[in-house]
Amino acid sequence: MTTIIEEIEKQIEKAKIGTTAKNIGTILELGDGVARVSGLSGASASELIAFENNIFGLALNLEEDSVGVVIFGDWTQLKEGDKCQTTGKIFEVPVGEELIGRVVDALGNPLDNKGAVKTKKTYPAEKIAPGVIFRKSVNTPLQTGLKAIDSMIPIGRGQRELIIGDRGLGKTAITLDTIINQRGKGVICIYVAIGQKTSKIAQVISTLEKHKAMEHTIIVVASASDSATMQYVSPYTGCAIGEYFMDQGKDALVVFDDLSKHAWAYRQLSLLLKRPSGREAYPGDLFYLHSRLLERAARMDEKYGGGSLTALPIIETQAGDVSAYVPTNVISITDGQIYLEADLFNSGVRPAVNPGISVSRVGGAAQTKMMKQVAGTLRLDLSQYRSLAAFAQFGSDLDETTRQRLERGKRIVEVLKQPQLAPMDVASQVVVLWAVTSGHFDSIPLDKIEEREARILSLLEANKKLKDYLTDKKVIDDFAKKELEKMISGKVTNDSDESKSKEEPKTKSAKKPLIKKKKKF
Amino acid sequence: MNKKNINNIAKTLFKKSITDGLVDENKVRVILKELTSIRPVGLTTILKTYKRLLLEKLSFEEVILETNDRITLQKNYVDEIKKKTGAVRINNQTNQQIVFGAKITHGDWIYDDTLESKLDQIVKA
Repeated sequence: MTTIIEEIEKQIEKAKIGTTAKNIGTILELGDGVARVSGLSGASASELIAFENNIFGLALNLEEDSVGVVIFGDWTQLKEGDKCQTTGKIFEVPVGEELIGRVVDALGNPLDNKGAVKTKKTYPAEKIAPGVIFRKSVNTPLQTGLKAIDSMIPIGRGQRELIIGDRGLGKTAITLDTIINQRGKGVICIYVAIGQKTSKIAQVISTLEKHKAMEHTIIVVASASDSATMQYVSPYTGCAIGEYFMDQGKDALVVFDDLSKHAWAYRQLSLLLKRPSGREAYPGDLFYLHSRLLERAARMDEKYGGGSLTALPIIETQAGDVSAYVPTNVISITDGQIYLEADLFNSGVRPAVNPGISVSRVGGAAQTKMMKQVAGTLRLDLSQYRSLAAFAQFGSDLDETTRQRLERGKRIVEVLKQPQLAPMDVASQVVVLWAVTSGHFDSIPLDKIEEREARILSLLEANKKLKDYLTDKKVIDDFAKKELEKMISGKVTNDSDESKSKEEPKTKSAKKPLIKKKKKF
Repeated sequence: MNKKNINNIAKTLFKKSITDGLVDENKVRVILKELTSIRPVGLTTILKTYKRLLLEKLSFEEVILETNDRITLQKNYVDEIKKKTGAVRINNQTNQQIVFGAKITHGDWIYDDTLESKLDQIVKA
């Protein structure tokens, strides 16, 4: 008995029971998820405020005689005169491996009917970004699996690359391809849906499940039907989850789909909190809203774990206007942008990336040597094609060199087209791009380019020796060039697969010299 | 008159009701008399805000000590509490719901040292 009493006493001692100090407040005004509270003289900025019925809020405005609190959850359960109190905590979200494969809301609560998320740790949603001492320059590529992006606008792990364009041009599709392409590459992906239609979010989840990408993905949802508060905090939640993996020395990718709606949600909250409005009625700290979020994307030095957090923010423009307030802000914050154009999309170029105004400021350093070898020529050929194509509209009498450049350009454009949800590995991308820049597609009619590309890819699949060589060495040296020439001109030299490939009809047809097709022009 | 102006009027009246950092009852009476004679637009709202500001200020001028039974605090304790809180009055109240211990309310702060609070802490721990 004495032992039990001693044990109880120990437990009481452990509990550190003492006098509690509560700082209380009373709701003065309430509406649209925002409360003005009197009292709370001890509240600090961004402190979590506890209301009745287990409802929480975030203290955003600390005024002379009141506090402006944005409320998470169902604010309609509250009323004027209700009491609330400070918690002494800042807003934290659950983080951990347990979240992988789950769909959660902006507070980390599960939304997928798979039971409770049993995480052991929490991270503050708002955190100061790592300083320069902790960082390292971007040096590892993050492959999107899209030829147009990986070759011309490469993204590195730890980079912030903006995807910008009008609605319905495939911004989300690019991010989904990127997420799907991370399968087996050790990158944890976090997709944050901000202010999206629930049907679209369901479609995204279903696509990722179909391609077995949920095994390395976490989805944070703040749909259009959620409160502006939830939409406002959701990217910070996604970022905190990503930071956990970065701190574990892992690579994480976070997609913010999209920051335009995030800015709208913040504008709504700011207006309700009666903050002074500026350009387009946005509050004055709109730039800081996004810069403090995106600055958290980093490539950490090996001394500090060596993890990375790559950010792919999305901005939806209105009628292609990139000079609006939010787009210009985010363009200036990020390390580059992928610009999607409606004209390209409508002319069948998908992904509708405009390589002329798309840029990756740091990704080049992370690009593999073999990709650099093919991408340099590709970019040059494409830009020459674009400038010549504009002039060629005015006259038909073109010299042979110009005509050849135009024909090459057309073929490059065709090769850069890629169906949705079909990301390619780097070796395959390099081989196809090498073939087009080396003129192996010059004699192929435009409508046969896709077919020819498929044939080359099947040849590469059969030539495991070459594919492995390219994957390992990551360079197109003399040996690789010779092998590529042999393969494309039909002489497959892979010992193990030669007999197999001979039996396959596709491989047989590949042996036909390509130049013969020239007469079809 | 918009809400912002009403709040500003109430705040000005409140500031004029203070003497040496404390609410001056005589000043409040005069202000109230003048205000009701002028009857400005939004009088009710002005009065409501003015009342709230006065009550908040008064709550910081007073310390409410709640115990199960009426107790008389020693003078040195009273002085200590006044010094620490900046309050001018200590109001002893009995609260039958408190089994053991005391609860001190000063402005929007509540210092709880009752048995209920301790049990609650054990449950949460």
